[in-house]
Amino acid sequence: MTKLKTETVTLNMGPHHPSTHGVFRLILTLDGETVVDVEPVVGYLHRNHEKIGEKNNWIQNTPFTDRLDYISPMNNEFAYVLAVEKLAEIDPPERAKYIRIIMVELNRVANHLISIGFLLNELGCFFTPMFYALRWREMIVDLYEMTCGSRMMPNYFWIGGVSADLPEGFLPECKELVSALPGFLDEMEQLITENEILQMRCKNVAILPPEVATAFGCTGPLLRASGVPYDVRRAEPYSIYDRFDFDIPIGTVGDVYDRYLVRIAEARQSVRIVDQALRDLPEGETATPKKRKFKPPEGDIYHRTEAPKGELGFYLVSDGTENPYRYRIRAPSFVNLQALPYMCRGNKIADVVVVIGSIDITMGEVDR
Amino acid sequence: MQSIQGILEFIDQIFVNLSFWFSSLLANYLPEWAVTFIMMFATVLVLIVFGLASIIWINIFERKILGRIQDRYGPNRFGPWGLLQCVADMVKLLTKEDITPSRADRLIFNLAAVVPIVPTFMILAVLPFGRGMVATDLSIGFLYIVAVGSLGTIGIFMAGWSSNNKYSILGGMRTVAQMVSYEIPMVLSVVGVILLVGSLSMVSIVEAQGQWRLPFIVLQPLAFVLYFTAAIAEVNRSPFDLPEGESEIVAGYHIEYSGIKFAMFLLAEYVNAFSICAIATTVFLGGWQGPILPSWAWFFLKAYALYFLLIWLRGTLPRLRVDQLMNFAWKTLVPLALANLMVTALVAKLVPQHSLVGAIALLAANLVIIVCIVIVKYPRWKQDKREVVLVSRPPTPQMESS
Amino acid sequence: MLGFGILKGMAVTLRRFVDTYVADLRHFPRRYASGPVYERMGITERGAFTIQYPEVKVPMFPRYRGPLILLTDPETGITKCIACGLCERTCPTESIKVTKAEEKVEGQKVPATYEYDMNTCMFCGFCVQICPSDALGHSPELETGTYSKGEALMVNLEQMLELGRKHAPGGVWPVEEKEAQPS
Repeated sequence: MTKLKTETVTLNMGPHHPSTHGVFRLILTLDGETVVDVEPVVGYLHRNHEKIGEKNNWIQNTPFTDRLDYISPMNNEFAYVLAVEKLAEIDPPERAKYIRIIMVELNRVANHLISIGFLLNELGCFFTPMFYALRWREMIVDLYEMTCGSRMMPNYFWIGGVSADLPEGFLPECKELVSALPGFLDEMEQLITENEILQMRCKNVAILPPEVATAFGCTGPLLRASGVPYDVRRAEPYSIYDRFDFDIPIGTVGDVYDRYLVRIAEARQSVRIVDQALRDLPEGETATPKKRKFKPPEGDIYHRTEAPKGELGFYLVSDGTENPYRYRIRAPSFVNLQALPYMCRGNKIADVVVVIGSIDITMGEVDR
Repeated sequence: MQSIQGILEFIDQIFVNLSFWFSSLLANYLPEWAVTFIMMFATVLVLIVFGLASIIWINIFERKILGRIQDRYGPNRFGPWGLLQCVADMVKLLTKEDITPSRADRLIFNLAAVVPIVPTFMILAVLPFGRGMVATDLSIGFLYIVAVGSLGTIGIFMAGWSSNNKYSILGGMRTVAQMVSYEIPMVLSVVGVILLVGSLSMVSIVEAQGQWRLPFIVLQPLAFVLYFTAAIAEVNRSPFDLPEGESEIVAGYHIEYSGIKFAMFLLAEYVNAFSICAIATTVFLGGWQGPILPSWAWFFLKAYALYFLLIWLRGTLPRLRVDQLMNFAWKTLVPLALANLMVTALVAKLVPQHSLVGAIALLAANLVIIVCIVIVKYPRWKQDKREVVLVSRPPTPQMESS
Repeated sequence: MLGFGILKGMAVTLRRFVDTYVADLRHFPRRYASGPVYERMGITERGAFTIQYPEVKVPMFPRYRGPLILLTDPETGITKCIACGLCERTCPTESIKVTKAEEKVEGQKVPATYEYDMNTCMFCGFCVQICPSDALGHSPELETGTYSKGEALMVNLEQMLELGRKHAPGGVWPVEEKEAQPS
């Protein structure tokens, strides 16, 4: 039998494709349904974030960090605020520290719920897990709105504390939510984890070996699913993470299925942390006295935190004025996205969207 | 007692009597050939109107149930409880601009919107909706359904090809591969039933279930599962909706269609989905047979119950991948259908027809196959379970200073 | 690979499906009533969680950050704003322009003009937090859509004071009030 002469096809996926999590473009080279090569094109959502950061003064930057990864705004604020506090050597009050941990870990749960929901949606679940997950995320953002007045762009963390104390009614509701969340995660797992079709689609798809993952600089659930127990909260404990008892879930194979499992397990661990933080929450002030003009000393700082999507770092250079001299972000989504072509090559088109979903990117953070 | 039975009989036969009355009325004025012609025309008209009208409630039924499954209400704005939503949608689709892409193959592009609809309605012709309620009782009924049903593929492939869009050609290719593969297990799974009946006529299949006094789902549970799975794939419903593949190839073959042409595809899809439920009802669930209620009511009750299953599956399951889809058809469904056919043929020859013993033997034969599969597959399934490892104190990585 | 996982998942969806009807029965009038009172759904409560939006509206939390309002002191009847311009300087998006009036009113500096540009506002709330005389607040308004950009979303001093009197008659923000309770 003579070999058929076939040609490859170039397919533009995006920037307006429903499964690319925003305006992300992929130039796929296809051999039939098989992906030969992937060329990601980023930059469609570029909003000049870093330059705006230099124009703004130190305080004004917090609401802008909300717009980085708009699924987990609290984590972005946390990273920025911690970096500035480290630079200016400010120690926020104890209560503020605990409130921050509660907010950040709730946000991690919300992010992982959204992430799992979208992953399953891209697998073709027709929104069912997505709606279940969204309802629980809704309760978490309701808590945010109650506390600081905004659901998605909270602007809650201040340099030296938080903008307001927890409102009346927050604690009972939060405690109820924390006690109910594991039950929901169980239901979610019952719904889909053992589903044969899901296992067919996810197992041994887009395996990322640990050495490749570290070589690409991947962090977060993507790296942990590959079996590397690297979590900034443990590796380099910041804030008060050394006071909490939690585990780092790691995967065994490093495929899409492991990433899904790791995310659910991480959400469970976050619930554990919130539970402990609520138990230990001290009374007292929530912010250091506010200054009209904030000028950190000269110097530079790089501070890394474990955002839900990976290691989020802020590199800030101060020349002693009101504005940062340089404001640079190490965005986890952007770095994790670099492993996409490696994972997609040789797979089918349907896997490309699943891989994107399993990396869990937010274009706001990728393009900045 | 007599009168109640009479009333039930009357309701049961109301459509048949109506048709008799109409034809006898016409016979007074017209020659016989004209009456036959008009009666045929009227039946076709009724079927088409039924098909079109059923979209209204099938659509609302589907969206409401899907909504409930997803913890929301579904459409509830237009009309009482949102029941007229489909009318509003249809009006919207009809008044939308009809766009033909400039680089499309115009003739085929326009034709492709009509082609899938024709076989869809042709299938309805041989389905017995009630006792005596069948447009035409073909002796090769099931064969006709299979033959006509696969015609829709051509329309879909025409749409995929002529749109001149890479996504739609991918969708079209997937459709052809999928439909050609799934036709085989679908037919093979029904052959077992046909062996028991000894006829391809849909009416005889229903009547045979009356003689067995059991629907064939009891005799052939495996065949029912196989048929239903393959049929879902045949009509491109979730979890086999790869040709549409909302999240990967956007909308597949109908990506370039808008307005009324898009509505045609939608129509074909819904009627097709209903007709596989109707076929499954006829072949496996005893068709129109059932106590007390009129025969046509039983038929629709069973068909819509199956349709609910279809929606339920759609609300729960993720989509397969294209290579897995092929694997599933050729490595799972076809061997199982063949095994079922073999066992059924053997048992049907050995046991007496239309008897309880025969029924039990057939059921046992089917269960033996299922148990065999479980025994073979169980260790693998056990082995496939995977969990995450929880590390409580990971080692701190050595930081290299740069 | 036997379909058990699929069946388990289908059990979950069926339970959700039935739960929506159970919840509808339990709150029988809620689904069909189009009153303004919305009962916030309990955390462990099951059933459909969507809100029938135009008919049913969720009351905002007291701290909700909507468009800006200028508060009026109910005793003196003049605005609490002293036109210091801190809000203008702290605004990250430069959405506020204040000018001071030449003359004082009852010994208090007052603004002559106050232009608030909702086109660029990102509702960060810095202006409200920094205001030395607590003269700014947020309205609980969330339907701020207009048919055009530009002028339609520019709010001047009079409008802001009017909104302030409407949404915070006590001259204090946040207006601490209990969420509307179902009767």
